[in-house]
Amino acid sequence: MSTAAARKPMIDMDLPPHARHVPATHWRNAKDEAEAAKLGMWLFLATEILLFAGFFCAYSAFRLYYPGNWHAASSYYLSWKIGFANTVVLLASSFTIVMAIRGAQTNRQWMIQLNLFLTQLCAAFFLVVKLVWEYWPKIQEGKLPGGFFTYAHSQGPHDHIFLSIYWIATATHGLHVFVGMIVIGWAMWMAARRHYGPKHYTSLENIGLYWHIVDIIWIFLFPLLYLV
Amino acid sequence: MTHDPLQDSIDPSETLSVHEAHEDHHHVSPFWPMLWVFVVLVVLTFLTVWTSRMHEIVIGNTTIEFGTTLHILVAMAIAVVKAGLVAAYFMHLKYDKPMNTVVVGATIFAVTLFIGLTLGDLDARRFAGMKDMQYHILGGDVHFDAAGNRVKGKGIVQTAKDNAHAESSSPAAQSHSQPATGDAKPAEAPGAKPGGH
Repeated sequence: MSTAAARKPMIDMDLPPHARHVPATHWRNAKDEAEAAKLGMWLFLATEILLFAGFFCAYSAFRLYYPGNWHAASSYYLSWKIGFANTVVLLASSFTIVMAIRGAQTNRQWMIQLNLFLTQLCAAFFLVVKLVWEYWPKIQEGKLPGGFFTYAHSQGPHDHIFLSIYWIATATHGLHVFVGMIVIGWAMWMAARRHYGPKHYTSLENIGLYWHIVDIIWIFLFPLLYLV
Repeated sequence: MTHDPLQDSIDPSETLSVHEAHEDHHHVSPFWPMLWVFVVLVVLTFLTVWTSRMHEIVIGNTTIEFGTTLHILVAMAIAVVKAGLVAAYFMHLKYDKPMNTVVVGATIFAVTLFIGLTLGDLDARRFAGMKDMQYHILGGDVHFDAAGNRVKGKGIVQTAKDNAHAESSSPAAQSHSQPATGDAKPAEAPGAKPGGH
C-alpha cells in the first residue's frame, strides 16, 4: 500500500481551478490559511518600510545639517509636474489592483485580468516617465549622485549630496515598481489559468499589499523630494 | 478490519468545520466606496501641490507666512492622511483582523525611534565644531591657542579630580576635608594605612 497516495486529498476536477484549492492539513480551514499568509506578508512589508526609513533618515539628516538647501536644490534639479503625474498614476494603479481583487472575490475573471492589465499599464507609465524624462536627462548632464557628480552649473555646495539622496530613494523605489511589474505579470498568467476565485485569491491579495506599500512610499517621497 | 488512518483520503469539503463552511468569504471590496477613496486621494494630492506653492495666507488683518517648516508639516499631515486611507481601505486593514494593524503600528514605532533618535544624535554632533558648545560638552576643559585651534586639555576625569581637591582645600570646606582623605572608615580598617596626608 502506498501511504503517500492514500493521504493525497481528493481533488474534484469538475470544479474550476480556483475552487480546487485544498488548504495544507495543519490548518483548521482555508480562512485560517489565508489570514496567516496575509500576516506573513505584512511582516515582510514591515521590513520594506524600514528599508525606506533609512532613506528618509538620510533625507532628514540633510535637512538638519543644511537647512534651506533642499528646496533650492530640488526646485533646480527636479520637476514637480513629473512627480505629480507619477503620483496620480500610482494612485490609480492602487485602485485598479483593488478592483482586480474584487474581481476574484465576485468571480469575474474578466475583471481580474482587465484590472491587472491596467495596473501594469500604470506601472509602465511610471517607469517610462521616470527613466526617459527624469533619469536619462540627468545622466546625460552629469547630475549624478555623490562622487559621480559632473554637472558644470551646480547651484549650491551640497548638490551632490542632494542628488545622492534623490537617486538612491527614487531608484530603489523604481526597482520595487519594476519587481512589482514582474510579480503582477505572474499574477496575470495565473489569472489566465483561472487560478483566482472567491475561495482562493490569497496570492493576489498579497501582491496587492506589496503594490500598495510601493504606492504609500511614493506618497511620502513625492512631497518630500519634489515639493517642499 | 481495523481502521487504518493512513488509508483515509482527505475530502476537501471536510477541512472546513461545519460552522465555518459559510465563512470563507470575508469582506468583498465594494466598487463605489473604493472609487471615492481614489478620488479623495487625488484631491489630497492636488491639495499638497497647492499648499506647497502657497507662500502666505491672509485672513483679515493677519498674514500667516508659510515657512519651510510649515510647508513640511502640512505636506506630511496630508501624506499621513493619504497613506492612512490607502492602508485602511485599499489594503483592507479596516476589515481585517486587528493583528495586521498592530504590525503596522509596531513598524511605525520602530521607524519613529530610528529616525528620531538618529536625528537627536546628529543634532548634538552638529556642535562639535562650535567652540563655545565644546566648553559645555567637555566640562570646561577647553583651551585654544593663538591661532584658534583647540589644544588638548587635561580631560574630564582629571578636571573632576582637580575640582574635588580644590574644593577640599578651600576654607569653607576645611572642617569636612580631613576625614575625607585620611580617616576613612576607621572602625572597619584599624590596620589600614592612614592614607592621604
